[in-house]
Amino acid sequence: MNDIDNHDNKIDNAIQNIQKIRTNIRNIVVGQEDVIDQVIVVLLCRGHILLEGLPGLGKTLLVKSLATCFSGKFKRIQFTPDLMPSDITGHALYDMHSGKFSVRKGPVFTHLLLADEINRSPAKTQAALLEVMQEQQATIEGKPYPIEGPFMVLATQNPIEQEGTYPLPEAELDRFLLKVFMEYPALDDEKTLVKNVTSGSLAIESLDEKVSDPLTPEDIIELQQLTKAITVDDQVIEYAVRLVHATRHSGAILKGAGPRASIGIITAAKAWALMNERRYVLPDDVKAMAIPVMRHRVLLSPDTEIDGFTPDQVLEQVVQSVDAPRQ
Amino acid sequence: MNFDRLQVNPELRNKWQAIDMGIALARQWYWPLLLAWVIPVLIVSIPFAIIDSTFITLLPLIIWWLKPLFERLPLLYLSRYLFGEFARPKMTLKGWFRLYTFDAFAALTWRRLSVCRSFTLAITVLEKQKGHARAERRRLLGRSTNRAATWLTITLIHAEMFLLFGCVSLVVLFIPEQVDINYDTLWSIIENPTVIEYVYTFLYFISIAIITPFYVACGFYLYINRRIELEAWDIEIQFKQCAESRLQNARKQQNREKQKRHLPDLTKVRSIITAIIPTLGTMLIGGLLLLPAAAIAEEPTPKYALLQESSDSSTTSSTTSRKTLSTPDAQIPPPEESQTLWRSDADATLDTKERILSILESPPFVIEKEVHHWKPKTSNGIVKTIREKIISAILSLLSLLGAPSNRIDIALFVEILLWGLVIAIIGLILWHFRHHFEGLIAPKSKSLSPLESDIPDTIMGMKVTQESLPTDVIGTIQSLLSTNQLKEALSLLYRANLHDLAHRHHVSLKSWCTEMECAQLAQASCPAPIASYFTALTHCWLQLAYGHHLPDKSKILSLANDWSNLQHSPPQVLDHGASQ
Repeated sequence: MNDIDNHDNKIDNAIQNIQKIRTNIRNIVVGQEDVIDQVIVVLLCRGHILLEGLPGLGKTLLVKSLATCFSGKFKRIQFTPDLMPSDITGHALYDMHSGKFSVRKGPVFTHLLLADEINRSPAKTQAALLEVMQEQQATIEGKPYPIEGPFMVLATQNPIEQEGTYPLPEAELDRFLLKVFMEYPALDDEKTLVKNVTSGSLAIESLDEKVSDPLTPEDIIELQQLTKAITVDDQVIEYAVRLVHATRHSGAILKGAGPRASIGIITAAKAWALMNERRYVLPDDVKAMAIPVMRHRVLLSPDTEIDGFTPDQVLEQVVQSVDAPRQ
Repeated sequence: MNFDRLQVNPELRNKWQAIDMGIALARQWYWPLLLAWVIPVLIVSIPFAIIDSTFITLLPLIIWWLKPLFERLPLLYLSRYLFGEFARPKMTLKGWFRLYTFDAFAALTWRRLSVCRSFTLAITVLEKQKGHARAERRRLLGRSTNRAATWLTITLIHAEMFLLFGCVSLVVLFIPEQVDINYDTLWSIIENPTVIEYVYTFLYFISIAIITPFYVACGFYLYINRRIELEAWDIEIQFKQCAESRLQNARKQQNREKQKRHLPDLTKVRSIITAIIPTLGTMLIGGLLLLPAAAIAEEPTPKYALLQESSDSSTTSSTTSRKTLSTPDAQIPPPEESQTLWRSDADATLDTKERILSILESPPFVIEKEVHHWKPKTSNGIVKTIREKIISAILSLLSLLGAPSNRIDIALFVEILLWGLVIAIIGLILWHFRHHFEGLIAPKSKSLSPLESDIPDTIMGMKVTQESLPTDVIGTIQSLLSTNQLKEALSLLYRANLHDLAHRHHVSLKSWCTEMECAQLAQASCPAPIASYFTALTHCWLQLAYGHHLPDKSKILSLANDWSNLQHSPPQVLDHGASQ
């Protein structure tokens, strides 16, 4: 009984911590509530996120503020066509004084990595992130180096200026738990943002002052552990799997989502349930996470694309075609 | 009309051949016809374009609208060319004015969209008919030609459009890639004329100008062809040719006879000369030799000469010569000869008749065509076409029905059949799309509640039909609670509530709705007490179903009692505005 109470206390504590992170980020990044929630979901799931949005919408600020919220390290890589894999992971450097090779670790050795405009680099460089994202380790000169947690990659893509870019390969896209669109802020939010920036109350250098009672990286790891422990009924798992299966049988979709999507939906639904102060996952959590998890994992048929449908529109129809779980 | 100068062979052609003939005519006199169209159009357009540049937007419309007037001059020229009058028509100012204003109001208003314009234009321009007379004339001429004239218009409209699109595409293709065209703002050009407007108007003008001579010529020859058919120009011309040929033959015959009549006189002169010269010679020799036999020698010499002469000529002429010589009144034929001439006239009449018959049996009066097609073999060798079969079937049907089988009755019967068919097709279409009309026919209050058939039997995998629920739900719940079957009891209560929402409160629940979505729908569609009760029940149910957390027995009982109270309370009218 004590274990149960202890677990409940931990959950309550976790819910409070999550609310703390959420509030802190919302105080800094104005008008991107959905994006903030989804970034927190991904952090809780130990996943990675692909952000798509126009430049200047506050992606760097978002990542920096998230890192500040748990006193974590933050690195940023601007992907360019001449970026080499070793620029990301690191390399061995000959030290003339000691006469030995010393390893210089790359920017991936951090808590939060912002891979800005990831599609501007060729596939070879993008693939260097694969190992890091999947196994949370980087191999330098044949020796693997683990990256301490929590670790999350936030990659960004620019929806315009597609000329000279290298679209992400399917295998790499599958590594991202969610794909999130960053939209322009609403009028009032933008007013507040402009006011904060121009008055000097919001500066990226002094974010620490804006964050109250920050967590530690260990707290985040504990939150991640607790997220795993959220109860999921078998019917809910079946519902998520049926949703993913439905994408494989839809006429509008050429290539449906894979099993990673099913795993991703349940994982994200757990985090979403925790964020909504619940200890169990509802079918609604699955529904809420289904589209962000699957939108980059499905490939629309050519005629559907020609008709002007987006993956989100098609997935909405697919979700509506699957009956809610049986109890 | 002077058929002698007609530039075409006036054969009776079918409609499509007539249109082909029109194309040939347009090609023959293309440039004069083109100029006859272009010059008036330019005279009208240039002032518009110069005086006010805003008119350039409307110019294509103006040109299009005035087309029936602009086509009159090419038609006038073509009609003259066809009858061999190649001199430029000398018209007074009044004549020009009359050409363009005659029946112009009708041509530009209610007849503007006539698809047979090319064909009927000749009635207005050449025959100068208007009003009732024109209508009568048009009805007579257009009886079998309207279809072809309509297709001509449709085809050439398309040709104009293709040409215009082609020209525009050509211009667009020549625009360098560096020039950025914002196609979204092209419409704004209408209010602000630019070079593009001028280019478009020019291209439109060019595309119409290219096609119009063909349109006018084809329509005109359709008209001519119809007149050939109605007025039998071809037959008239054939008769004229026959008459001409007969006249020429008769003239030849007369000349020949005249020659024959003149021939004896010459012979006589020649014989006299030939007789005198030897006589004179003999007399001269006899006188010189003092011979007494000079008188005896006179007879044989001319005779010989005549015979000599006649032996050189043909048998007929020698006979005639002889007759002429022997009979001084040779102009009057003897009885036997006059009978022979009468017989020859009768023969000639018969010969003429035979020739007429032979002409009538030869082209163009008879057109022989070699047609090949397949026919099925029948047992009795009689092959019926499909049309004959249909007619015979209708006739047999009529005879079975006891109806008189005259033509009018058949037409009436077929008309009734066709109307029946049309009504049946309309009925089928209405029946097929009946769901689309339900919203229009049904009262609005009904459309707010979902149809019974739209309510799913299963929501979230739970049966929510009346049959799946016990008659006494509360009693069953209490009995389940007494046996500690809390999950079953709560499940039953939740199902009963879903049934109520769907059937009593007409909430449009779908099979793909989750519990929370059902609660949201209830919030939107039900009175507040019911909505709040259902939300509380849903939370309780979710904790049990997905959180695996059993609620207290008392809570379930309390929820059941609340539901019972809500069931017995009078139904409340939902204030949709307030709920939203």
